[in-house]
Amino acid sequence: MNPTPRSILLVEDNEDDIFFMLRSVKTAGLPWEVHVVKDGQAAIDYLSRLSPLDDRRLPSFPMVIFLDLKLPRKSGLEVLAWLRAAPDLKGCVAIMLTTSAEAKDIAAAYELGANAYLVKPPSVELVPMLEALDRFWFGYNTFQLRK
Amino acid sequence: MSAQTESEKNERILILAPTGSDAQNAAGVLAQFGFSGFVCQDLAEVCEEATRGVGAILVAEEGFRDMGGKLLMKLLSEQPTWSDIPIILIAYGDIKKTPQKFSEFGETGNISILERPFAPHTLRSALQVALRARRRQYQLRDLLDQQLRMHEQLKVSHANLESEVASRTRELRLTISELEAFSYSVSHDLRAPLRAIQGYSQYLLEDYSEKLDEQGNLFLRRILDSSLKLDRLIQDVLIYSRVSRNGLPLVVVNTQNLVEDVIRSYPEFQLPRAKIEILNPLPEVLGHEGSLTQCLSNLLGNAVKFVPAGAVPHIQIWSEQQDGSVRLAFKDNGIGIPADHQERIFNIFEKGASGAAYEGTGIGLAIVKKAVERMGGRIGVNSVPGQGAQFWIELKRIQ
Repeated sequence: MNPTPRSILLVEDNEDDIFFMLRSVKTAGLPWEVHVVKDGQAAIDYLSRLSPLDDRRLPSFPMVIFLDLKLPRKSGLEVLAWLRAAPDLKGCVAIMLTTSAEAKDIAAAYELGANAYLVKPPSVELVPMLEALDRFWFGYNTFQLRK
Repeated sequence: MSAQTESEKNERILILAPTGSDAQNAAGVLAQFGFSGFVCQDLAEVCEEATRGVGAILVAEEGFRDMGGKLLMKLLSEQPTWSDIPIILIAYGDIKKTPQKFSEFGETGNISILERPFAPHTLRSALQVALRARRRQYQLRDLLDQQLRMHEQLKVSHANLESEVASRTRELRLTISELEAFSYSVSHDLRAPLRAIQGYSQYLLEDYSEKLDEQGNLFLRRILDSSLKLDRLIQDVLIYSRVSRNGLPLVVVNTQNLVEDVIRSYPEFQLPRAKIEILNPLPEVLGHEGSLTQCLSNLLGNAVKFVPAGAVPHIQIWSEQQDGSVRLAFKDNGIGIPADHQERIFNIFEKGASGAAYEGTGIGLAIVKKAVERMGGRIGVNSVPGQGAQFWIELKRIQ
């Protein structure tokens, strides 16, 4: 068992997709603590506050970040680039979750260090997808231990 | 004289005979023979007039006094390549010395020496020969001019063509990138509201199903089904446009592994839902792995889909080596395709005769055909209705 809480950051501007995600997490009965931000800058601001010194104040540090590509203020790729340059956040898993299946988007995401690239499935397939992600990332996967 | 045309000037015999009235007499004789004579005062004038047009130069020996010889040599050496002005030199006295006197002209001067006294007809025939040769020279000049003009015109039209091609290419690139942006926006923006329709109708079914009567439930399921169908359609169109426009770099692809991977990835390609056999080892080909995977899953997807109700799909896959290419064949036990549909099924949005009875967007085979062609290959089908179909694709062989 992984002792860390299953803390998730969802970076998504589409209200419908946010609703579907939260509902599917609930339907699947996953023990996820999902924090939602609705634009790229807000994601960076949120993550910046979680420095190693004061993260004890925060109840949950995001282990997995779901990133949409097209976002207001800063794009998902810009957030990803920032994340991979941030020394304290190297252990965060960045999963792109987007409607785009464009080869250039996929290539750009992996180039910048995405851990996975998921094309948003129809809502009927969202629950099984989240269950599989939970099984892999919080079951089989081992996270980097924080200092 | 100033009213002479250029062609008249080109027929002129320039006369230089500084002594007494020799020049005037000579001009008179020439006029009698029908020549056009032009009397010059010195060699400088001869040289100047020669640049305006000359048939031949008739010069008396004494005309070469002083610096005259050098002037004439300059004129001769500066002639264009087509020109070789005929000069008739009238010599008198010691003819034996004359050739040495004019040896400075060397081979550059087209000089004939006429020794005095001579009969008028001797002069006439000499001038006729000279003029005849000179006319040829002018003809040559005109031909060269014409050629030069054509060359210039060709250069101009070539340059125009180049810039036309460049600007068309720019326009095309712009159009392509606009289309790419459009398809990107379709992929991202058009699918978002559709996903919302899907999601909310699904949740409506999940949460409020018992509050609706049977017909209400039916309508809701139809909305959900249609939105899923539309989503598949949009995705297939996007795949088709991606396959059409993206460069497909060809690398060595192991088709055996690829086919096995595709079969492993889809439960509908596995027992008990379907029986797929690989009859002989499938070779390596030159292809694009992503596109080839798409082709295989579309072809196998069709093979397991288009079976008579209740039948278990049975598909056989094998390879045949051909000249420069490899043929992969996919034989199924499906409903088959009538002869008059065998061409059309590869067109986008085209379904087979029984297509309406089966789920599908009508794009799958168009994607396969486009992808195979982009990989430098071919696709085809042999089928008899009721006896299954045998699709084949030919791909580049590893040399």
